[in-house]
Amino acid sequence: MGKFWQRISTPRLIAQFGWLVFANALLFGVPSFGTIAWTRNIYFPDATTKFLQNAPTYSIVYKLQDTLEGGFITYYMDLVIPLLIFVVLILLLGRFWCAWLCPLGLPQDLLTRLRRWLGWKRVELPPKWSVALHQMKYLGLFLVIFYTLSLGFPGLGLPGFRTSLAIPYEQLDPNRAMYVYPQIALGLLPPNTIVPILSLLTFGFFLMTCFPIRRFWCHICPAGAMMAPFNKYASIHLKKDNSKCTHCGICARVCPMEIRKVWTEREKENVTVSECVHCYRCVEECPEDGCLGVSVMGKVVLESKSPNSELTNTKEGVAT
Amino acid sequence: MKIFGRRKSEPEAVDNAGSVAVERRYVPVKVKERMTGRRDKVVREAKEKIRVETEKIRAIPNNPESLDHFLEIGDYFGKRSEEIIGFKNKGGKVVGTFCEFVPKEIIHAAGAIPIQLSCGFSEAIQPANDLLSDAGLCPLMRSSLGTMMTGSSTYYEASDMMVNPTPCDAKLKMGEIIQDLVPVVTMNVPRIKDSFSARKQWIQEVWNLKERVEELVGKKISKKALRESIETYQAAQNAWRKFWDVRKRGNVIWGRQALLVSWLTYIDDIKRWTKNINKLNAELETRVKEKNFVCGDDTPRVMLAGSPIIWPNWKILNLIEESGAYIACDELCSGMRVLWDHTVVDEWTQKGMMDAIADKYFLPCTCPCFSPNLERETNMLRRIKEYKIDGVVFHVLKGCHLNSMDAAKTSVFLKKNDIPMLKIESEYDEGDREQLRIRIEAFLEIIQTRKEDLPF
Repeated sequence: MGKFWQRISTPRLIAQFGWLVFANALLFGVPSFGTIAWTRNIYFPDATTKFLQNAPTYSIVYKLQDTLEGGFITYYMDLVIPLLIFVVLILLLGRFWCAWLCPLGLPQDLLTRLRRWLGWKRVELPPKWSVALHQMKYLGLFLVIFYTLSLGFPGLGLPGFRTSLAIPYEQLDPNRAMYVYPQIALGLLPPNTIVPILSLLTFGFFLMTCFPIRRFWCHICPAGAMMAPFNKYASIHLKKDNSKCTHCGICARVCPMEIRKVWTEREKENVTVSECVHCYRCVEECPEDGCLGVSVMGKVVLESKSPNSELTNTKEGVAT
Repeated sequence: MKIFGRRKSEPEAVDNAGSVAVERRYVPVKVKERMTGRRDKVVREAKEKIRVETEKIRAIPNNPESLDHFLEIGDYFGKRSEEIIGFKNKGGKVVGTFCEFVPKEIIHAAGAIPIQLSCGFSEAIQPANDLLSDAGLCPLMRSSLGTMMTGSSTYYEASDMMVNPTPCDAKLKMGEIIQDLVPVVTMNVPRIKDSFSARKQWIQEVWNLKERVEELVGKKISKKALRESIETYQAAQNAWRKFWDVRKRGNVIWGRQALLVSWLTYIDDIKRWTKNINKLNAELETRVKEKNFVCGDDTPRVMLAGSPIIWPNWKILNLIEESGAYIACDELCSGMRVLWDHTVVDEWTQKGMMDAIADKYFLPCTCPCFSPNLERETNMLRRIKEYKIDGVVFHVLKGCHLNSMDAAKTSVFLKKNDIPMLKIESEYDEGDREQLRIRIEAFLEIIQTRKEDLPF
């Protein structure tokens, strides 16, 4: 509700842009950065692999593969710290990454904004489909991990693939096609960086699906699957005051992930589900004072507001 | 009397001396003759009733000035009627609506005037009784039907089309009867909300309504017009919430006045209504600051629930407030609920707007026609807490089975929350007035005693 500066979507968009610039251009563009030992241990949950020259954006599963091959003794410390950081980040933030920082979330949001600006209607996923897609991402993640780890086991005799197809997700990730060319143009990457043909295809798929469907990639993203099971237990969560809910269904309608739980819940206070990407569109649009909110470590930082509250301080309320 | 000549397409319809042409299947020909000459009596008594009730409200000491506009519009045979006749003469279309479920945004967007037809004329009940031969049916429906048949109200006469959602049996069958007299769009309200298909069905009903309205006015509703209409109604919704915020902060306006204001959202031009309620809000807000209250803190605070109360049938409201209680809030579809729920549009496409409108009228609705009706429970408990309610008066129109059955459930969960409840059944006429008065007074006494026993 309210003007654009009163909406939580605005700081979110700024954060997304900021993170994109910060992560891609500045941080990883500094050649010395990637060589510092501790920075290499930061693993972001975007499941992409090392496609930036000095970037520490390894996939965490790739790290596992390394560890398996090299033996636990060599890579032990190298694995534990990133895993710990990863787990702590997930437990703290849940899928906060997805809507606020993910470099693939931004283009999805922009595509939706573009479609809205053009006035095209969105394609609605039937509820059964969206549930099926939500489940599919776990399968995707399982396959990625299974394949990657199989390569790592020396006994299986597959290490030959490590040179040709080390991580399948690397070949698929639309991130790559989207960001590598601009990075080459900016001189952040050597011009001989290769983008796999598959990721060009998935990029095309990404554009085709995410334009008519809100956050379609998030429905099937294997990286999201890594975080989803912990989302409910994260310290940052959506809360709902059930005594104030009128069950108007607005939260379900505006949700880009087609979550109906926030609407249908009548008992529990914590309404975060594993699919929630923390975009807080529901909190923004909920017309009841204090019905929906975001709580961080038990402290409410954002609450839904009745649309009339903005009128109290303007002329509109008195003299229209 | 043929005011507008809308029945040109039915040459066989004969109009004589104040009766409405009653020709075809459901309404027998005989009835037409019986209705002849009844109009004058109904109109005379309705006018008298409106005058008396208006005087009663005017006579309340310390009335807000901004209420005058509402009292003026509240006269069904006065200013608003003339406006509608003028609008019709200029070629405008009027769409009558029968229920809170009708998406008025769509009618407004088409450039037609939506006007609520549910009727409070107790004199019009008798003609309907003659037709239906059953005095046990819902008086609201009978009154509407009687007014319709005798042609006693300008709003009915002016309607080019009527929109009749069918949440209850009375409305469902009434729609069938009035189809003989005027084109009717029947909207099927799914009674079980929880399923995905119910919502889909209701959205389809809203699209159907849109098509019919477009047919009526002869042009498509553009995206821009629909958006403007939604924004107009959003402004009204904002003002309406503001009004209830002010009421929360102090006892500045009586319940019978507040309910008149709310009922007129259905009658008045929505823009003018918004303007006037904003004025009223401003005036009431200064009263809150000046602590210029209409009654003290010790007055029993009552919540009115149940069947709609329709102007000018103000019997129950007068009884409660004259007996010394203050109706702090209500959950009637003619009261607080009229504009409470917000039309929140996610995407301003035609589809997005239609979805938003459909959802607004359907999902948060606490009409007793739904099962299970948990929304009503939550809503009532929430209002009881917010408005510090001491007791609930559950008003049931005789023959409203849905509300009557919901009352039983309501009393159970209110008991659990330690709130006393009184269920009253009433008709439109004055016959049960004194009996009701005794019951209400006894109930208020109970509340008063409980209130004084509290430790503060």
